[in-house]
Amino acid sequence: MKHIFISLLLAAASLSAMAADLENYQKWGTHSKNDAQLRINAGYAIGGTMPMPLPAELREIKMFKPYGGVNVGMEVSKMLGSGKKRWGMSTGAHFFWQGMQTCARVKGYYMGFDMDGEHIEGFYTGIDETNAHLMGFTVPFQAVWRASSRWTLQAGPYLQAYIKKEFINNIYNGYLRENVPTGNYIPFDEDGLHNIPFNDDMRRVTCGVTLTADWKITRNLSAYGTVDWGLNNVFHSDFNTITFNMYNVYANVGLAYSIF
Amino acid sequence: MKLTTHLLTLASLAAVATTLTSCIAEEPLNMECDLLELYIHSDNPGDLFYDKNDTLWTAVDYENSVVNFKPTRISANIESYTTYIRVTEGATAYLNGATEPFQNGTVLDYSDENHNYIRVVSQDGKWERQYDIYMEHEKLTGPTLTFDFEEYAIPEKGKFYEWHVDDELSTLFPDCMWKNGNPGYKLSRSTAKPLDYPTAPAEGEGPDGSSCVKLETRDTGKFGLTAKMPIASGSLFNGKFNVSDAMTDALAATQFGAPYKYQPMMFSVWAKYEPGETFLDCQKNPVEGIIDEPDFYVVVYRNIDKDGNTVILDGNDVLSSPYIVGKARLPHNYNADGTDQMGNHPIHGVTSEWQKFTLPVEYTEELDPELLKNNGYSLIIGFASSWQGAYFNGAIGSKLWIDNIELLSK
Repeated sequence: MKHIFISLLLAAASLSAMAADLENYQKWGTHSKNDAQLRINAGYAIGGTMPMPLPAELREIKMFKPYGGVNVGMEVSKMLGSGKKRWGMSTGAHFFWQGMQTCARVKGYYMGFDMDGEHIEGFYTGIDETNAHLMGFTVPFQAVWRASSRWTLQAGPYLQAYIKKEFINNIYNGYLRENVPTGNYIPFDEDGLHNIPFNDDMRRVTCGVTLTADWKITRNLSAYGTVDWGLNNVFHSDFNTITFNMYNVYANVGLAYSIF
Repeated sequence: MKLTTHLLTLASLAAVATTLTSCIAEEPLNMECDLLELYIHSDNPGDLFYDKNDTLWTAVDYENSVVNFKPTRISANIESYTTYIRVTEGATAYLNGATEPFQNGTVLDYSDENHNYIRVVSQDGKWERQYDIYMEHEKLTGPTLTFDFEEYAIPEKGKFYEWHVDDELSTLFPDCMWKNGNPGYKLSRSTAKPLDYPTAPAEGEGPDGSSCVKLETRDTGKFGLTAKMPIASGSLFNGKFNVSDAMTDALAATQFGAPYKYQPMMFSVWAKYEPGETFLDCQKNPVEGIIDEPDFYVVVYRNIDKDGNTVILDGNDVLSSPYIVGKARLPHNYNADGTDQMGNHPIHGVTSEWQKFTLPVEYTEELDPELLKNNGYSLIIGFASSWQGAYFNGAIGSKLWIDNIELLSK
């Protein structure tokens, strides 16, 4: 009963607020007569390529360091309807250069290494360092919703294509049990095995969902935050030397400017 | 209203951020189930083993599930002994099919080569392995050793050939076989064919048209380079090869020699050699003006130090240890300070034609007959296709063929 009362109260409050806000929406809205908008953006990208959810084999993240962190692009959007015109859609292209270095302690993590056609795999316990570099373009397809006159939320799917993709592992201070936990014991000291590449096993194109929140500082300039959440494994489906599916999850924050 | 919207928007962003920082899950239980050490208590360990330290067995090869103590004294009266074990953390051991876990301090019967079995179950309960534990007497051998390498085989599930020796040589040849670096090479070249290993048989290529052993310095590929072990010299020796050390400390991985009751006097072997084309340093860079050389030697050393500790020579000191008392080795050039001199005027005399080499064993001190009788001296018989191979210097493609070894002793 109490809940219903509160809901009704909120609904009533927002209805009255909406009417009063119409002017505001127009004031902070686009200049163009046809409700289209072209924006350019520049931001800082941070995030990583990670298994999700974090597997139990991952015991400790000892270090995380983002690389690069550039996201620049442009977007066109069109608002629909009448009145406040709160709904619209948007697409564009963002160039990104992003990456990360992580140093993790793992226990019994099943992995394999390929080099020159040679292959070792098994349960690894020890330090696993990952260096990931990604460069490419994101093409989002987003629904736009003006949450208020100055706040805008955008959400939708995206496609990501990579010009450069690098996923390199170093393993050290640990050991591998070959194939099974009762297999050959192969220890690695601080030199370990370095530069184990998984680049060729990565997909060229991935997809995911993107969510953006945008706040207008002035009518043309806004601050935004975006999360690009990968929905498919960054590695080809026939790649099984890393047994967990890994996803790209990157956020970027920056400024966007409306040209019209 | 404005505030509500702000809060809603911020809340949705916060939700995303929280999901991103997923928590670390609970630690998984151990999957391993190794017997790491086994120790027996004897009131007079010196009556049982020649080296009283041999009451402790330590795992060197994690794929091997046999706890084979060193052969005991021929005179030993093997009885029942209080037994202690150490297994992987969290694992549980069971004796001879018992359902109750094994308790340290249990007395096990080792008499008459009785076999005991210990089953070790991992902490997560999903993995187990069974160990075969037994003790056996040393066997008597004569003073002459001969090897013609006619018999060799790939063991079940194995990837390379092995050369077994007669049972009575179980003291001089641990596991009754010749050892080499092939288990280490296997780690770097899992796709290699048995005949592509650094140590392989050569059928019909012996001096008399029978089989011989071919040692060839091989490329360990990208894995080897990554592990800073770019080449693998062919090798053959008696002793132990500790695979667990192969990736981290290759020099320590080769544990040379085992006790021998006679004093070796004359060592002979048939051999031929072809050096590889380009000599490489340990970073795989070509070095001008150096020709690769083979090596073979017999070394006699004291295997117990003055404090009663076991001495085992490895790649670090196999030819330089102060415990060495006798040696026969293919000739090489040496610098004034005694260090190895690599160059392009080898004097070893091994050519691409089969020849018989006879090397007398030279001693720096008289052997103590009492020590000799009590297995206090160890004997090494060793071969390599690249004499600096332990340091990853050598030429890929250097080949040493050997056959018909004879070691005369008194």
